[in-house]
Parts: sequence; C-alpha cells; structure tokens
Amino acid sequence: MDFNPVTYAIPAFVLLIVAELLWSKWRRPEAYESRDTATSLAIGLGSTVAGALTGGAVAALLVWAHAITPLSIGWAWWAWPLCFVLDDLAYYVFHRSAHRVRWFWASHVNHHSSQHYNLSTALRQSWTGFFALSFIFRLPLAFAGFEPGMILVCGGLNLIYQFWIHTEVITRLPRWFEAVMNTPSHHRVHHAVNARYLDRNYAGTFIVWDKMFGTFTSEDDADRIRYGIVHQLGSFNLLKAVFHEWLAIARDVWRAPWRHKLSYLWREPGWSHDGSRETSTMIRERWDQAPQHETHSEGS
Amino acid sequence: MMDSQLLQFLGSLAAVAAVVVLTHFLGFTRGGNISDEAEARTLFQLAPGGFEPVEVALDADRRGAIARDEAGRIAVLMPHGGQFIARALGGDMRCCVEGERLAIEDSALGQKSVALNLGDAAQHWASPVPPAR
Ligand SMILES: [Zn+2]
Ligand SMILES: [Zn+2]
Repeated sequence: MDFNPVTYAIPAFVLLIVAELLWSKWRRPEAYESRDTATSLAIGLGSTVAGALTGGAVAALLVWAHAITPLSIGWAWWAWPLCFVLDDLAYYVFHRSAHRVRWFWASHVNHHSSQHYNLSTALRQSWTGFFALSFIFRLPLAFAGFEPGMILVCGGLNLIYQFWIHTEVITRLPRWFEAVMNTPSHHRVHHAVNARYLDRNYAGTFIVWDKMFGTFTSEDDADRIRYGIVHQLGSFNLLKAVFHEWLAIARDVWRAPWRHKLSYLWREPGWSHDGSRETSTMIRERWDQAPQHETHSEGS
Repeated sequence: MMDSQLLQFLGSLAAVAAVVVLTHFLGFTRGGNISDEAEARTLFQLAPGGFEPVEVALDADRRGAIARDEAGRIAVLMPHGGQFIARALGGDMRCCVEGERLAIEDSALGQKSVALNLGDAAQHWASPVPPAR
C-alpha cells in the first residue's frame, strides 16, 4: 500500500500558514519572525526527504513483523478506528520517551527548537528519527496483527491532526473537546519552557493518555508561556537545529568516565554524572522551592 | 515513482520559498522588545540553571537587558529574532564601555557579543564588583 496522507495535506498546510500569517499581521505581529519561519519550513522540507529515504525500510519492518506474528486482523472496517486509537497510544509512549530518554530526545528536539509557536513550527519534524530507531514504537501494532498499510495511514492521519494545534490563534475550544482531544491550548503547554509546564502533555490526538498516565497540565492564562527548549539555541542555523543534540551527546560520551558513558545516552535530557546540569524534574523542584514563585505552584 | 517524488519536492520547495518571501514582505522582520522590567525579570528566571535577579537594567531600546543576582553573578538578555535568550555569564566576562554603550563578551555567549545602551549606568555595570549605590 503506497498511500501517504501527509503528502496530500501539504497544500492545505501551506494555505493555513498563509491564512495565519495574514491574521497575525493584524492581530499578533510577534507570532511570526521571518528567519524563524524559514528555518521551520526548511526543517519540514528536509524531513520529507528523510522520510522518503527511510520510509521504505520502516514499511518493510512493519511487513516483517506482521508476517512473523500468528495474529492477523485484516482490513475489517472496525480495525481502522481501533488501529488509530492504539497508534495514538503508541505515539504517546514514543513521545514520552522522546522527552525522557536523551537518545530519542536528540531526534525530537528540533521540533521544540523554535521560540515561536505558530503553524510553521509544526513542520519542524525530525530528520533523524530512523537513525534514533523511533520506529520500534510502531512495531507492536504490527505484531498485534494490524496491517502495515493501515498502521502507516493511521500514523499519517495522526501527524496531520497535530498540525493545526500549533497555533495561538485559537485560545480554548468547547469543554468536551478540550477534555478528550489534544488542542492548541494543551499543546502550547507541551512546547513551553516555563518550569511547571516542562515535560507535560505528550498526547498526539487524544489528550486522555496524559490524564490517564499523570502527565497532564492545563494552560494557566496567568502564566504566560515562553516557547522553546531550556537551553535556547540562539541560532537559525538549520543544521544546528537538526544535529546539535547528537553532537552534544557525542561530546558528553567522549568526556565522561567509562562507567557513566552509557547514561548520557539513556538518561533524561539534562542528566549529568556530576550534577552540574538540570533535568526538568530538578528545574521544577527549584522553581517550586523559590518563595517568589509560590503563586505558580503545581496543581492550580 | 522517483519522478513524482522529485516533483513533489520541487513543489514543496517553491511553496517554502513563496511563504518565506511573503513573511518578509508582510514585515515579520522586526526584532522583539522587552516591555518592562517585570518582563525582563521573568525572562532572566528562565536562564539555564536558574537566575534570580536583584538588580536589572534595560537597554534604552528595550532590545536587551543585564542583571545581577544576590551572589553577584551577571546575566544578560540577548535578542534572537523576535524573542530573547537569557544567559548567565561564566565569570570570564570582558566588557568595554563606549559612552553609554556596554559591549559584553563571555564564554557563555559563544561567538556572540551583546551590546546594551545603558545610559549613565554603563560604567556601573562594567565594573566587576558593583559600587554601592
Ligand atoms: Zn515533544
Ligand atoms: Zn508540537
């Protein structure tokens, strides 16, 4: 099955970005910055090339997993919604790992590298996902008997869903929708560097996973969101955005004492063997303990 | 197959170029401004490792800021596109004052340097140990 829904969505992505640009011109001129947008779009374009180069291998792996499993669900209509929901759960697990394991973070970080939050930010997709072995999170669905083509289409639809939530144009949606679905408000929290928002809201399409697994935080309008990564890049360089964390890992592994080398690969971002850096947990604790931040403590 | 992928890439490339030109044309090229000292404080607090400013000075054009914490450490806000980046300086800060302008270089800033228009306070911030005010 050679159908990638994302390809067909690209023209709609472009039109929606133009619409948001025009809206921002009148209502929110700080929402866009031309060099930032150029970097976002270039990363997006590069990610389609990376996807084209490695897509065949991922499909082959899914076909292999599906072939060796005794389970086979086939193309029944009910398999589609089931596959979409389970693929979204797999995305949650992938995305949480992408923030809590530095190896996967190195591949995901470019999605968070912009200090802006607009529809063009959504296109900052990974170039190195295949190298990072991110596809292992999708194999369980093929082992469970889902058709590889169905898994790939559901994954593509999930990615398309996640495009439109990268905006500040929409403040809040109806309560029932915010309760079940990932929304611009929930995903703004995910892109925030504010201490209380770090490593929250990993959802792809359904926000219910975060609520089930205790990683949900709602947006507090009193706490203005600042976007990006804890150590802001300070560069519009495309290659730096895509590869900087891989280089940092290589440097850390090279310099670390032998017994700590592997930890720089699998521990959370910010972990260091000598405690010289901060993880998101440490940042949150520091923030909560500072008396002047009491009003912004967790759980409000 | 290969041809359609190449066509797709070229189409996307053209769209990317068009959107970037449009962004430029619509004037999304202005740098950001720090609205006031309160905003500068919240931005300083986001510096990696944390930073609690006790004394803050804004650039005259609000295109940057400098701050000192209780321990005497210095941090700066430097503009990046429409946004700002907070960096605590490493202690090997080199600065030079030219009239009302303070230019700062530091290993924590990498290759970049920060230039701030601090008015009469430029000399005050240039000294490693702040004179009592
Ligand atoms: Zn993420
Ligand atoms: Zn996102």
